[in-house]
Amino acid sequence: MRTHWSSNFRKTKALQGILSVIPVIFVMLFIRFYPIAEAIYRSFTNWDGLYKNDWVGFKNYIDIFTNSPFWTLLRNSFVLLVSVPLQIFIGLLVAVLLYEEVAGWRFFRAIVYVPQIISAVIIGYLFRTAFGLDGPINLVLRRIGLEFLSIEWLGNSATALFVLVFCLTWFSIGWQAVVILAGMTKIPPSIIESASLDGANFWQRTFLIVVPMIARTIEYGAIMAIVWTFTGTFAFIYSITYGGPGYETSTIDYMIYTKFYQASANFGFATGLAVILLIIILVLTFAEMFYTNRFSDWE
Amino acid sequence: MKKTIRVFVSLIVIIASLLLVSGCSGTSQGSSSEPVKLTVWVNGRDSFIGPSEQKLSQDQWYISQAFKRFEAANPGVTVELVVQSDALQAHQTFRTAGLAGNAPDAANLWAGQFIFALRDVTQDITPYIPKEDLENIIGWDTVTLDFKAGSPIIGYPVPNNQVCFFLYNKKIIKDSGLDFDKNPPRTMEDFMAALETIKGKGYQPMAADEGQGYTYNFFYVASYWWVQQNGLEPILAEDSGQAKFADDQALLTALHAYQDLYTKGYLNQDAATSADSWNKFLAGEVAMIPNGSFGVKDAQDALGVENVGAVLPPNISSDAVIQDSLIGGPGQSMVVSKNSKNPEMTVKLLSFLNSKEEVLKLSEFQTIVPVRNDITAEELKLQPGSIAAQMFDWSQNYVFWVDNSLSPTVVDDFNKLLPLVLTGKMTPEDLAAQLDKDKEQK
Repeated sequence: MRTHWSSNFRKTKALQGILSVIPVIFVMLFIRFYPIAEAIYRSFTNWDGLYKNDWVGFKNYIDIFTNSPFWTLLRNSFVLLVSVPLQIFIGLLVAVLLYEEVAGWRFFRAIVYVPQIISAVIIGYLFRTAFGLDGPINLVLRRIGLEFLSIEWLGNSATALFVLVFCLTWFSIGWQAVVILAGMTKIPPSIIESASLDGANFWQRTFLIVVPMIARTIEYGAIMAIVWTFTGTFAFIYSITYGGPGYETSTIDYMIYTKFYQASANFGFATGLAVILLIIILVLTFAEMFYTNRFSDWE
Repeated sequence: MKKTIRVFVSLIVIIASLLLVSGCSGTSQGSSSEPVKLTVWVNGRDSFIGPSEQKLSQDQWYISQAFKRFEAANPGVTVELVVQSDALQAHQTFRTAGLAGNAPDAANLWAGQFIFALRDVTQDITPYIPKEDLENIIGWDTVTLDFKAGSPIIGYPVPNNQVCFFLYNKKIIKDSGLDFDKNPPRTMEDFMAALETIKGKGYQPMAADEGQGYTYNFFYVASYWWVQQNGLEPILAEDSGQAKFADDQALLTALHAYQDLYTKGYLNQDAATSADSWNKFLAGEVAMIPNGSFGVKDAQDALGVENVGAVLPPNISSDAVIQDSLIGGPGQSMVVSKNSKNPEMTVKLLSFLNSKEEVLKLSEFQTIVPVRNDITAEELKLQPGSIAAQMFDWSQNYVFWVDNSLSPTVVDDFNKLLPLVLTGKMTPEDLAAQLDKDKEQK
């Protein structure tokens, strides 16, 4: 009798659970999976955003891989990923310094997050001005006798990408620091104190104690930064380099915009790019999670 | 009792039906006097809203006042003005609005291929256009699908006919020992020699911004060197895939000429990335700039009327089929959307804006070249020898905008790649080949 009651209770609880998540599942299906499914379908059409919507098979994908600057876009997207380890590394150092309450930590805690609350377009404009041919960076370089470094930063592929990486890193340090700082709250202070008493210096405390203990937090920060670098940097690129010169600083994300929102409106092609971008992000995310699982011993 | 209820319900149904029918017929009878609201998108610049107007409140703008005049002449009609700040983006916004079914009655968009690409959301207004307009307004081909006479007309040309040329700083030119008023450079050799002289005097001869997503400066002036050699027809053939850009010697020559301006140091070093060439010209730091009728007022305000000159682009060769001309024409249009419930009234509004009286009123607000062929220089009160008078003369012999004649896919890639050609990172031949590939993709 008791077993029967227990079984019924479990079934009721399970049913309640299922019923409670069904609305969310429907919402998720509608706002997440439906657009993805629609995009995948559209990527096999010549959709122009209006009424032209003929099935063209793999034509868009063939065009993307053979008759478009896709490989340059992919290269650029991966180059911008250089900012991810940089922002995590610097964010980590900042977080540990704040955690250890160095002199002026309250002030720096407020300052370090400021870039996050400034509009990306304004940041882009500032960087564009700063790195212009006659911008402040070059003026300073000329003044201190480094005229040979006073170049057209945004006019060359390598230097323009450098400016973008610098900008994305500068922008994201605060966010990474806050995330890592939040992760560090679960580290018992006694561990850090013991390490200090045992003679561990700042670098040893950071990389031998803190990093292994917040691997999951760093994983979260890394995944979010990777996804953001692939999908959220449009405003920066648009306002700093316009994706140029040529396609030299355009990313896949930027090209999707170009194809969607410019007069040519090749939506089928753009959705093809979006599907490829989705696959790249999924692969990178799973790879990152796989490696974090292997190296996250403490948890 | 039940029978009473049944009778009562039946009576209510009958009365309700009668009221409904009378209501419907009332609506039908009253439809002619129903208020009509037209929504019109207008670009923030270069069409109805001039540079000096942007400093005024909206009700002081020409277009706001014109709408009020139209409303007064047509009781029951109201016109809502919506300003589109980004003219290029407006095409996509219009497309999306058309798809959603809420596009405005009329929209100010770039003429030619830019609106032909929107044929699914625009309306054939040919039947509504008064014969008088067809006779007195020029540039109907730019709003006629595929530029083909007899095809549906989907809009009106904007009354402001733009023409492109070099604006120059008279003081710098004079300091350089040149006199463009008396001896304007008409050949490429003379032009290059003049630029070399200006450079030799320590001035920046020319400035352009070609890395802002749209290579305006090339299309203002250098595209003239392309189209003047053989006319627009071969370019249209290339755009439609019947010929190849890569085989077009005129294109390659124009690109090489533009590249020369950069490699010889006549253009600003950061022309592929800069955004301040116009400001530099207004600040008197640059001798010349590719521009047009739309920049005259600003330049004169900044440098003084007496210090601003205009000169035609030089001819690329003496055997070109077009000589002493310039790029121009009604580069902007007012299209009527398919969503418009009042196309006839919308056309009436567009016709009103293009009427002789209104075009003359517009000329009081902006330095314009009218698209009507029945307006004289005297009626426009043009001062002899002024830039406005020069523009009026030049506008009698313009070549329609090359970028408006190319399909958007080609223009998009051209805009992206031209900065590379300018700075020598790509050859003109490679750019031409890429444009052919774009056509294949389309």
